[in-house]
Amino acid sequence: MNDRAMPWRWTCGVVALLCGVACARGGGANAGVPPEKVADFVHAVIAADRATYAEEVVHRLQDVEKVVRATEQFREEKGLPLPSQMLRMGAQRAAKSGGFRYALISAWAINKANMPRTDFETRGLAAVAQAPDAVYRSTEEVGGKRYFMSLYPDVAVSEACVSCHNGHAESPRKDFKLNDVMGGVVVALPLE
Amino acid sequence: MLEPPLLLLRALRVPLRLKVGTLLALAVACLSAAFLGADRTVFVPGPTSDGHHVFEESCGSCHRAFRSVATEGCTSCHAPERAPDTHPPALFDDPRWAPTIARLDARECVTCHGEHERAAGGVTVDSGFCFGCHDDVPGKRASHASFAPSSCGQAGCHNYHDNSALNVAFLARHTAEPDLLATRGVLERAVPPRQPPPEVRFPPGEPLDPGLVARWQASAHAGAGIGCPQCHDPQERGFRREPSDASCAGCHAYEDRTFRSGKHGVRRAVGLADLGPSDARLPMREAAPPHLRCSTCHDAHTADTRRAAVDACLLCHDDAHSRAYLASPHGQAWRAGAAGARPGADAVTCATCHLPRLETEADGKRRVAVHHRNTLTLGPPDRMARLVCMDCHGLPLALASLLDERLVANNFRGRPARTADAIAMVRALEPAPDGINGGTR
Ligand code: HEC
Repeated sequence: MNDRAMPWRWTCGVVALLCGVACARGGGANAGVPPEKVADFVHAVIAADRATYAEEVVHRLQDVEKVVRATEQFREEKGLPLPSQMLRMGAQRAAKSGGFRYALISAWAINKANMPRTDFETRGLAAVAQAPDAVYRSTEEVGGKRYFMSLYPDVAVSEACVSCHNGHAESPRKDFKLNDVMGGVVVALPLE
Repeated sequence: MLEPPLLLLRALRVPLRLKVGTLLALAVACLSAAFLGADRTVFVPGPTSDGHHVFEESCGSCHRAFRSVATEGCTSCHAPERAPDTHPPALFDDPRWAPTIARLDARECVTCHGEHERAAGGVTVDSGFCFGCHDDVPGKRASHASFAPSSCGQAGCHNYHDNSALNVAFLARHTAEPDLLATRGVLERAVPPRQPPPEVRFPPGEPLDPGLVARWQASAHAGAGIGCPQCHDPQERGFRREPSDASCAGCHAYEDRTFRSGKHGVRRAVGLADLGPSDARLPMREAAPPHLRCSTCHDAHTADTRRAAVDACLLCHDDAHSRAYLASPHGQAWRAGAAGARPGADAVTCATCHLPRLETEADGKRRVAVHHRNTLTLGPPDRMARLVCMDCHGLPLALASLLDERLVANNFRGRPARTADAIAMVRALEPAPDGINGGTR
């Protein structure tokens, strides 16, 4: 090994080291915010909008000022969409531009389409009903695609939630109280 | 017996390989010629649906090379039928629906609307398909306990894409309505204030028909300031004795667009020769005009929409329903009604139901215009009831009449044989239903 080769080896070594550092940092930047965090951000917006709609729109206009009713046939009856319909319409729009999905479900669903449909949903609803502060998460493969799934408890934040569900002819459960877990919000983020 | 070409080949004593090769080459050449030619109907694998058969030679309208028919191809034309859609594809494009989608892919139109086969309403899926998801209904609703899975869409009860006329709340609000409502809801079209007709400007040397000029001077066109050059020389590119429909579309863009979106105009929309009586599956008159253009129904020099609303239809249509119109109660009222260039809001013409006047904001201005998609209200019956019949009639009579085949054929002469099931069921609900789909009743 001759001495003239030394600076080369040093240069190569330093370049390799710098590349390694850059890659590690770049890799970190690519990984970005972890999926739990992304799901939490998404859910924070859904939950905030949902509570605001229930309080400031449905409860205020329907129960306090009594000017308009929230009804499933809101177009026909010139009324307000139900909070669950609001969420579903928003979810369909968000899917178009954002590529991710969210949905409102419950084991005591008025609408059968909102009953748990997968093992993940069944397990998650049971878990959040036990521990309302927890979030149930799992990575699932569906139709050849991987999703990071989070299920958040959906809580009766307003008297409007309770009275409407308990009084609804098709509600399988009629004893909800304020702050009960009524169901869950599923956020599904595609991983690739 | 050998076919003539084979006999010929045998006579020429050609080796077998060459015979087969020649025949194969001939077949490939014929098929290629057919494929490259304008008429590709030899490739149509079965009878095209009643909705699409008039443009079946336009394979490219639905098919792209080496790809299956995409939902976007359907929705680009079928938006009006799906606004708002109770089961939009976007709903099912969610991992939580994956197990259901594996059984019945509700994201794709072709799952239920298979093409190149004929089926009522274009629905080719098994009629019990609703129960794939809604099998809880008979258990949940006493009134539905005995219903067969195949009956959901029958008898004017449910409509997969649009339940706006068939939900309990809507039905309940209309079940007590009389046969004839006190107020009529057919919209009047605004007539612009009449101006003095513009002067006649025809190139010197072009023969001019004085009778035609007099008719035009009395017409709505002249009253709106539309003179010779607007149609005969629209961009001052030279006089045209027979203006094409493009010059109509220059002003009547909404009418042109809606015309192209229906069965009457779809051939034009996809670049085929304009629709003719031979394209139809319904019986057409022998003396029918060869092609359907603006001028088939509208005479630009009289702008008489009375003719366009009835007489023009009967130039071609020769089925029982059309033939029965003039003697029907609607037809008799129309014949007895006020004369004039436009049917009034009281008259029920062919166009009242099949080319309805609707409010539109299409051109940036809210106005009443004739929707020229002739298939807009054709089916299912609840669609016609809601968009048209209920302008004058109560829902019970409208729905029952549309579901009564005898009345449809005789153009609604007489009373429906029975009450529509949907109406009877909602009448049986006591007290007035509240909540989702009438609750558990
Ligand atoms: C005016 C009546 C009404 C109000 C107020 C209301 N809901 Fe609902 N909710 C419904 C109906 C009806 C459905 C089912 C309709 C659908 O999703 O199509 C539903 C659906 C749900 C679902 C999905 C499961 C199911 O039952 O189908 C959850 C979870 C839920 N609501 C929770 C809440 C919460 C929490 C609130 C208050 C923030 C609330 N709801 C307010 C009527 C109401």
